[in-house]
Amino acid sequence: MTVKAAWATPLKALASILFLGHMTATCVQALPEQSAIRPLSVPFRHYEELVGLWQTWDMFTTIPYFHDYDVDLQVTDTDGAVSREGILLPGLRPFDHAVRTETLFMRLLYDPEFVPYLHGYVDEACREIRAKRGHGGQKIVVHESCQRMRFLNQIREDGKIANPEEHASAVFTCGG
Amino acid sequence: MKRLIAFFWGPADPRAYALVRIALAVAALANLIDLWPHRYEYLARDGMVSLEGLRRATAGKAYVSIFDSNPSDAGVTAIFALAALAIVALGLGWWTRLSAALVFAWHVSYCHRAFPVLHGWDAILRSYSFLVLISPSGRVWSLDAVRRPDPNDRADVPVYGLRLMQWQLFILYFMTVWLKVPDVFWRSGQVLAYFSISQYSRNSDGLFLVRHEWLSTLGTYLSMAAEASIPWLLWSRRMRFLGMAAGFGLHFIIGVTARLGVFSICMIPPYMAYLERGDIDWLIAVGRARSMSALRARLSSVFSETRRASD
Repeated sequence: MTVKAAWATPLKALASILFLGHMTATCVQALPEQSAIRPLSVPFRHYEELVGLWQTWDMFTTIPYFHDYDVDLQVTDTDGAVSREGILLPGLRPFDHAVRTETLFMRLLYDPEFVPYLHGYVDEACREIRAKRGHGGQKIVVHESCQRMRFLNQIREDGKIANPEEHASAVFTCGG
Repeated sequence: MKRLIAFFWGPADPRAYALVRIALAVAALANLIDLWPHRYEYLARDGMVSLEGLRRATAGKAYVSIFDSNPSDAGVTAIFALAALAIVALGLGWWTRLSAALVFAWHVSYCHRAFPVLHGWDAILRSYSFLVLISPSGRVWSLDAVRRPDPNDRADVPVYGLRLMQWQLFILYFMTVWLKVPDVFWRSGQVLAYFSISQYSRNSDGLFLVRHEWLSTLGTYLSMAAEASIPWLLWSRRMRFLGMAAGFGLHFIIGVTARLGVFSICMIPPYMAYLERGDIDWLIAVGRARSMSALRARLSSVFSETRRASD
């Protein structure tokens, strides 16, 4: 038996153990945070972050709530004048109803994990507003206009699909 | 240990790897085209996902991205162009290993940089890019094989990459059922009716499923049953085409009724990992059928196999 052949089986065994580790990592990332065996996922955390093993589809786990969704920026200038700007950066362009962009704002506005991203977004929006208007000091609010779906039996009664709702984020002040 | 080694290092048809590689390239290209109009919004320095916010949110995590260099708009466009080139090269099997590494780097890069805009299909693309990278390259059906023919190109290769891909799809469907089962709307069968009038629907003003709720109930339960059974059907050689038909049917319907076409395309590559030599030979025979009667004969052969298995 050559040296190469002699090493083949141990190397395959070692690789097989690594493959088992990969399969384990695929499973443990799905354990709920409250589970007593959740700590099993800790050694695999960085590996999961790199490879992207998580497969939790939160988009389909329950029904969507909105029939329609729109979002823009409400800007109150230093003289009290209120105006609207588009939400898309760069360029303060109007919302284009892209699914990913909608997801972005739902996360920024409602998921505490994304608060640093919201502050980063506001900083960038303020920079554009300052550049456009030639001065800072405005107060901005991320403003959502939604159509919240009604229950099916209510829709069947009168054909009206949704009720309008308005949501506003916290007020952010743009630096001078 | 012998069994474990046989499980991961047994022989596999290299064409299965080639099919995963080609399907992954098609899906990755579709996703890149979908991202293209939004590339500055999500990935440029003056876009909506601030690099500072990203660094604060991901402190201490294993996040790396070529977009961390904070490229200009032109830089972002150049990265997209390079990624498109690598994806096409992967699909064609041209410098396959290098292009697989670049495609994985692309998926890691945009996923890490634009984390708040990600969906489930981004994770599928990233994980399967990684698995393709570490798998036997499947030189069969590739430009590399045409440029430098090797008699071993058609020889069997280790099956470990396919095993890992199969496991990934199994967990994916298991997880989606796990998360949906407790939900009151999935249990009541109202999901399809609500989804059909939601902002994700291509026809959100259509009330057909609302007015015929029994159809929504039937469709909701059928889609749940399909997702619960697909991994098991795919693992069974005789039921495999039934599993594929259920999966492709499910994702085709999602693709045509919801504004999530890219998601449906991204679900195709994982299925290719289940194909064995006999399945691929059968598919080739179907593709080469020159008359309707020959095509019917090929198609009926798989249904008769499935019927025998269920008897």
